[in-house]
Amino acid sequence: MSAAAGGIVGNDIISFGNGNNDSVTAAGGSVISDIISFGNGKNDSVTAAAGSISGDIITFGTGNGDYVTAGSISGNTIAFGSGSADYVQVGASSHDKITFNDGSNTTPDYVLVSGDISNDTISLGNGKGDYVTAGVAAAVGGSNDTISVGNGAGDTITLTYTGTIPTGEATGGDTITTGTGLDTVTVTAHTNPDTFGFALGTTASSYTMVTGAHTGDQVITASHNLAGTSNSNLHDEGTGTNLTSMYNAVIGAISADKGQTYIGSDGFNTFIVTDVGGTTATVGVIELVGVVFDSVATLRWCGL
Amino acid sequence: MPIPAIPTIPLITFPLGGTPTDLDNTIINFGNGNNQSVTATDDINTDIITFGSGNYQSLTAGNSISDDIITGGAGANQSVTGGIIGNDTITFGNSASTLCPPPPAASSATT
Repeated sequence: MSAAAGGIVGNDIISFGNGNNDSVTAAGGSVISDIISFGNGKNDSVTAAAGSISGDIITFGTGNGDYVTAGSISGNTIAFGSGSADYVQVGASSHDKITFNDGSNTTPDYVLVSGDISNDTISLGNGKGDYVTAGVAAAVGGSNDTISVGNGAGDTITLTYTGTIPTGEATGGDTITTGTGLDTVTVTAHTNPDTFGFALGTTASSYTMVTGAHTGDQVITASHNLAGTSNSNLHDEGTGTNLTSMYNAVIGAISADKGQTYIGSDGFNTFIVTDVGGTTATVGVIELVGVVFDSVATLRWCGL
Repeated sequence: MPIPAIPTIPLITFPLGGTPTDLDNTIINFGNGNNQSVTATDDINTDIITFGSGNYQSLTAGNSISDDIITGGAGANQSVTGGIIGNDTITFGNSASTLCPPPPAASSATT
């Protein structure tokens, strides 16, 4: 089933059933201010290859491979069901709310933006290898976005130019939260502080790695803002340690470490291990790659 | 006092002849046959359009499709195509795409 316009698809209410390959297409124009809902078929789509999709409410069902593609999108609410391999692939995105449900462990859901993203709220569910990538073709990545991925290994959030030399600085102010699993966050240089959230239940081998963090950024856990940690519960492990030994030390004294946060480095990267509740499930681990915050005072100033 | 005349709404059914410039204020019922199409060279506006159970039924306007109520049928690969699609309420049914044969040569493209 399809609704296709060479120019504009606007102010429509469009509802599809459960068939596969249902589509709304504005081949040479834009999709504007519509309410579009799909059933549970696979490979359903809304596309405006040469134009924009803006102000729409788009809801997909549980089929796999549903997608939105456009030159740019703005002000949309886009919700995917629990299918896998769903995606949004656009030139730029701003003020969009994009929500994925849980996917599979074999084919990821993703958001791929060749330009910049700003003021978006993007949430990916559980599933392996899900990713958000922006700034592929530009020097800057994100500004004032809220991005979260669920549990599952190999999730990545990349808000930076993927070429060899970034040539600009992003506005920043992004909040990026990861689930359990070995996840990777990469941001380019940014003016306003970013916030990096990591999950409890992470370990020395399954944790969040953040590249691009710098002074002024904040680190939080999903359920516990470390900014409220008092000096007495914040421990500087110095620059001669590593993530595994810090994690093992916390696990080895799990009952005594409730409420404690440890910060250390190997001279190249900074490691943070926190124990919110006194059990292995309440221990969280994050690594800030390529930066060394050499004192507790510095880290607290950075939001810890 | 004279009784006002009840407006007559054209009812379009198949087979039809010609390709009109506009199809406005009409009721269009696709039958259950395959490869049925309705085409207007300019606009299809303010219509009530119902697709049937046939496959490859299509509604096409050279310019705009607006302010219509369009309801899909049980057939697969039904389509609405126009230069502008605006202010419509379009509801498609469930297609059975896996059962769809490839489209044969069009039997008719008349309106």
